[in-house]
Amino acid sequence: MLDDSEIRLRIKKLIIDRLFLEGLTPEGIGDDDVLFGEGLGLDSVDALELVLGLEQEFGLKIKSKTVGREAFASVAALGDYVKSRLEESQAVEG
Amino acid sequence: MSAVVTGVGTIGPWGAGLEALSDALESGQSTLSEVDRGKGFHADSSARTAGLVDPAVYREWLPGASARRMSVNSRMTLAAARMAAKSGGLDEDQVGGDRTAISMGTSFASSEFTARLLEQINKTGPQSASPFLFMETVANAYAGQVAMHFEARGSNSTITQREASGALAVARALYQLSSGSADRVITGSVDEMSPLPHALLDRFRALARAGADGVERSRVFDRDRGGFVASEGATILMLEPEELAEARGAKVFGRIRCAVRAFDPTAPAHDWGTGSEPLARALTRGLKRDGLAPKDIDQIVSGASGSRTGDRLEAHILKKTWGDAELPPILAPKSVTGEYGGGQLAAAILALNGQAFASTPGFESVDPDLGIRPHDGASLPTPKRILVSSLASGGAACWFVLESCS
Repeated sequence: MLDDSEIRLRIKKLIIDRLFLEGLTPEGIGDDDVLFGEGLGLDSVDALELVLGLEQEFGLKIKSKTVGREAFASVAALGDYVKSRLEESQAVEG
Repeated sequence: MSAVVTGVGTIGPWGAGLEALSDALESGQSTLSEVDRGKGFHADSSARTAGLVDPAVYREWLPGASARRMSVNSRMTLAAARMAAKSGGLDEDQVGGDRTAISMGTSFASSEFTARLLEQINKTGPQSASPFLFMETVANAYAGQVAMHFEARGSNSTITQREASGALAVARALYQLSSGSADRVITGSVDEMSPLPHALLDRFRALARAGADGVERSRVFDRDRGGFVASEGATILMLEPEELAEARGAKVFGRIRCAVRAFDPTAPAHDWGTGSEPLARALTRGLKRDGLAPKDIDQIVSGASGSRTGDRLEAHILKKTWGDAELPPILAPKSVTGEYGGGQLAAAILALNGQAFASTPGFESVDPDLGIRPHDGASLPTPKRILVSSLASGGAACWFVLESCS
């Protein structure tokens, strides 16, 4: 299982690459920085792109209706969400 | 009713801004780049170069973070629109509003994003289709981006009629102002030349091949012309009713006196037609409707590009329209800019304002079938009126008359 810091780093790289945030580095995004609206200033189209990116990066299937807004609040929140989904997948497979 | 041009922004292989285009037209120097053939779209024997734009020339005109999701077409359109606003002394918050419309033209829309999206769907299924890519595959996306930037809430449309798209967009803008449905129209043309459309144009044998010197060159109106050089870029014009522009003391680049639209049903989907007789009649009628005759035209800014069939149709229409009278000087800016609608629009504005043009590069011998000798580099008096002529493969035709306000 991936640890928290590895998941967060991969999410930060994903946000930068997938959302074309040129000039940003993973170090420049705090784990608790607000992603949408204020903070990084992402919007609903970014959210759609981000969901696709997370699916491909972590091999998940994310149904948007089942994901609470709080999961997209920050990199840390997204990391927790991804980790819980990965654990669910492992439990099912096991 | 006529309208006046109160702002011009332009981007092309030669750089950004009217001054850079002016230098290119005066020197007759084209800027060609090697096309990326690594995607495998091209045949081994295909054309290798195009007039490509270095993004660095317009980066300063992009509004930071909001441009990050934009296609090349959106970026060039918005950058040119912001340049146009500035060139006319308009503050950005003066541009938009309920009475500002947008009328754009594009030949092939955003081919790069479309190719990437289709490849994505083909490889990994529709569920993986990127929202970013999808948004910008819609041909009206660029006009939408400009509207969002300036908060322009008037009508918003994009015409895709190949090479005539930009001229048709200007004609539509003139109609919108004439009908009173807008007080300002942001109009113009944008085209990107990514590897896929370049390879496809080559498959249709539309592109110029290298001469003995190894250079692929548009030989406009020449006996031995063999196709055009594909290019990319954008030109945006700000149009306003003359009385409104006068009332606010606007800088004016010229007046659009009238526009004429027609269609040539003899044209196959992928080529120019042969219907010069009815098109010449349409042009003559259109000029007459606005009280003009061919003798009132001092220069022609032709959309001829080096295509065998397109240049022939253009030449035959002009010869039939002028009849026994001598044709005015014919400028062929696509011999420098390559084929994209925006280059011709901006070159026409420059021509109206006394631009010096080099002898038409690539032209050596008169084609006896055409009987046209394009501009030879001689010094020309500043014109009072210019006919801008734009014919598209597939049949669309549009002409408009630019008139000096001085």
